[in-house]
Amino acid sequence: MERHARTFESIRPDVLDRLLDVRGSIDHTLSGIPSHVIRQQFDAVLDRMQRYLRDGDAVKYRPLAERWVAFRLGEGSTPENLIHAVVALGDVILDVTRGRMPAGPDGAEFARAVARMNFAAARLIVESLAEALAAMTRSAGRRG
Amino acid sequence: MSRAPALSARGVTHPGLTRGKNEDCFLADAALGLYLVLDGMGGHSGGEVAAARARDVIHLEMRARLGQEAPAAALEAALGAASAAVHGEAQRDRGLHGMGTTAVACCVSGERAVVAHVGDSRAYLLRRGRMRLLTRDHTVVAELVARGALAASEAAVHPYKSVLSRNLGGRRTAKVDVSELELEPGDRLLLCSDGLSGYASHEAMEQVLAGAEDADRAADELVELALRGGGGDNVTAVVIELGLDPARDSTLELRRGAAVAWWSRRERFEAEARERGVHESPICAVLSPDEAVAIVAGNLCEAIYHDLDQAAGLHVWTYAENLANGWLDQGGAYEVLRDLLDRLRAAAIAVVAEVGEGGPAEAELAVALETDLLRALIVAEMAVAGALGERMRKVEQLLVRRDTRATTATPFDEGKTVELSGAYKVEPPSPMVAACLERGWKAARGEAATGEAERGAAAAVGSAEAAGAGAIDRPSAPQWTEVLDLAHRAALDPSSDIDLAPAVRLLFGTRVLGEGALRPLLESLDRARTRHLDAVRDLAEAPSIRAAALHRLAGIHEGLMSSLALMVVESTVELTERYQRATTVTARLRAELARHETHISKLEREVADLRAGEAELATVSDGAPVGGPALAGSATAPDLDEDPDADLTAETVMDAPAVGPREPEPARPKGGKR
Repeated sequence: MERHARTFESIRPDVLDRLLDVRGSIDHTLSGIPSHVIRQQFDAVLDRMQRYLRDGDAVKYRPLAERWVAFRLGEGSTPENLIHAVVALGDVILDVTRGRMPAGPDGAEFARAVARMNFAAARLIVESLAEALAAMTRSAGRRG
Repeated sequence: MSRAPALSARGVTHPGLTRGKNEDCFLADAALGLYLVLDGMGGHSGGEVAAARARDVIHLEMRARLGQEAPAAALEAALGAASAAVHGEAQRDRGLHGMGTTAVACCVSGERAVVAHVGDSRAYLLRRGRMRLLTRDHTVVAELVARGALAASEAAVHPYKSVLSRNLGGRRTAKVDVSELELEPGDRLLLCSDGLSGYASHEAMEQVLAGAEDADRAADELVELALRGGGGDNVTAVVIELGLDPARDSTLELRRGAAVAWWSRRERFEAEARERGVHESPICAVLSPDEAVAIVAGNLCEAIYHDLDQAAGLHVWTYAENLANGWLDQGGAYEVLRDLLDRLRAAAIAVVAEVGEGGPAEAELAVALETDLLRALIVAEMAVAGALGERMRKVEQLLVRRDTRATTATPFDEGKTVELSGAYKVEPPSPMVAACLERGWKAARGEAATGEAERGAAAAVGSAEAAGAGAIDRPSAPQWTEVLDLAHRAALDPSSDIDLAPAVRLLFGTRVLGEGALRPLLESLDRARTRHLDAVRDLAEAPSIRAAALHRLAGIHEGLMSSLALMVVESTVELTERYQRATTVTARLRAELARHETHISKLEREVADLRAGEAELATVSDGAPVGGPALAGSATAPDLDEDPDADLTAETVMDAPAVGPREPEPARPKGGKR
C-alpha cells in the first residue's frame, strides 16, 4: 500500500494539472472558480486519496463523503452529477497513471489500486445518497 | 517485440457552401514526411495561384533541402522561398498583384515533427484525447491580444479578426514561425485552414479528431463538421496519425484476453455467487436458488463480458439499473441491494484470483481483469446512484408540494372540507390549545362589552337598513357575540367531526331571502371571526400553541361561513320547486286557453253560416234576388262558357246594360264545371 501511495505522490503534480485542465468536464460549476482556489481544493482531495492508498480504510472517509454529498445536494447538484464528478476524478487519475507509468506489472498494479480507490469512492457516494434519500423519505413520512 | 509506429495521413479540401472557387490547397507527401495546408487570397484567381505556387515551391525546396539541412531550417527556408516566388509572380503579372497565401507545414521525421506557419492556418496536436493548438494566428487581432492590447473575448468579434499580419507573397521575405515537438505513438496532428477552425468549436474538433477511427475518417469528418457549422469559407484539413500505439495495442489485446478469460469462467462465477448466498438475498425471494443464480449472477456475468470486450459500460449499466429500479420500486431498502452487489463483487474477485494462478502472464492478466472489472462495478454504482437520484427527486417534489399546500391552501383543503351536512373534520384540541382558545374567547367577549363592539354591531344594523331591507330580522344587538360563542363551542368540541349546520340554521332562522336579510348576518359572522382571531393572536402564548389555536379557529369560522352559504342554497330549493310547478301550470293553462279559443272561432263561423242560410231562405220566399246586390251583379256577368272572347274587365262588368229580373238559373253542383 505504501508503494502505491508513493507512486501516487510522484504523479500528483501531473494529476493536478490535468484536473485543472478538465475541471469543467468533471463538474461544470468548477469552471467559474479561480484556479488558485480550485487547485487548493483538488490538492486536498488528492491528499486524501493518497492517504487512502496508504491505509485502505474507506470508513474513515465516510463522514467526508456524507458532508460533501449533503453540501452539494444543498447547492442544487443532482445525485447523478455527484457520482459523475467522483468517477470522472478517478478516471483522470487512471488516465494520467496509464500515461505516466511504464507498461509492466508495477503500472498495472498501481492502476488496479487506483481502480479500487475509485470504486470505494463511488460506493461512499452512493451510500451517502441512499442515506440522504432515507432521511428525505422519513421527513416526508413525518410530515405526511 | 516493439513495433515502430506507422505514419498515415489524409487530406481533404472543400470549397465550402458559399464560395464559388476553392483557394485552399494541401499536400500530403508521406515519403517525404511533408504535409501542407495553404489558404490563398487575392482578387480574381490570385488566391488559387498563390496557394498552388507556394505549395509547389515548398515541395520542391523540401525535396532539395531535406537530408542536407535540419528539417526545421529546411522548412523555414522553403517557406521563405515560396514567399519570394509568389511575390515575384505577383509583381510580374498585374492581374495577380496583391496575391498571397497562408501556409502551415509539418515535416515528420521519425518521432519528431517540425511545424512552420505563416498566417492563420493552424496546426493542432491530439494526444491522449486532448487537442491543443500548436500555432499562433498571424492576424492583427491576435497580435493585439498577444501584446495585451485587446482582450481575448473581444478578439472573437473584432471586425479585423481575419486581417492577416503575415502571409506568403505579400513581401519578398516572410517571417516564419517554426516549432518542433516529440511525437508519441497514437498522436494525431491536424493542419487546417481557417475554414475549419472558424466554423467549428475547439471542443467539437477535439471530439471528432479523437473519436474517428483513423486519419481518413478524421479528415472527412472534420470537413463535414465545418460544413455543418455553416461552411462559409473554403475548408481544408490534413490529419497525420502516428500509427497505432503499440502499448495501446497490447492493452487492447490484454483487455480482450481478460474478457475471454472472464467468459470462460462464467460457471465458476455462478458457483462462487451461489456459495456467497446470492440466492438468499430478499431481492431473489420469488426465485428458486437455481433461477436466482442463473438470472442475477448469469446476467451480470454476461454484461461484464460484453463491456470488457467492447470497452463499454452500457451492459452493466442496464443490468444494475434494472436491478435497482426493480427492487427500489417495491419499496426495498438500499442496504439489501448493496449487500447483493457486494456478494456478486466478492464472487467476481474470487474468479479473478483464480485467473491469476499460474505464471507472471496470468498474474498480469488477472490484474488487468480486476481493473476492468472494478470499472464495470463502478458503472453499476453509477446506475444505482441514478436510481436513487430519481427517487430523491420524487420525494423532494412531494415535500415541496406539501410545503406549498401548507402555506397557501385554505383550511378546507383535504380532510377539512365542509360537507353538505356542515360537518367539519378537525383534530381535537390538546389541553393547552383548549386553554388558549378559552382565553382567546374570553378576551374577545371582553371586547364585546366595549363601546367599539356595540358601535360595530350598530353599524352592521345601520348598513342593512340603509340597503333598504324592510322585512328583515333586525340582528340582535350582539349577534356577532352569538357567532363568537358558537365558534368557541365548536372549537372546544373534543370530537373530530364537528357539525356546524344546526348552529348555522339557528343563526339563519326564518329569514326571507334577499340582500337585506343576509347582509347583517354575514357581517356578524365576519366581525366575530375578526375579533376572535385577533384576540387569540394577541395572547401571550407559545407560538406553536397560538398557531394551533388560530388554525383551528380559522377553520371553524370558515366553516360557519360555508355552512351559511349552503343554508342559503338549501333555502332556495323550495322556491325553485314552486317556481317550476307554477311554470308547468301556466303552460298547461295556456294550452287549454288556446284550445278553447280555437273552438270559439269554429262556433262563430258556424253561427255566421247559419245566419246566412236563414237570410237566403227569407229572400226566396219573398221573390227578391238571391244573394243581394253582389249576387245580382254576378247574374249579369257574361257566361264564359258561352262566350270565351268576352271581356272580363271591370268596365265591361260595370258598363253592362242593366237587365231586369230574370229566372234564376238552376243550381249547379258546388265547384263543378260544365
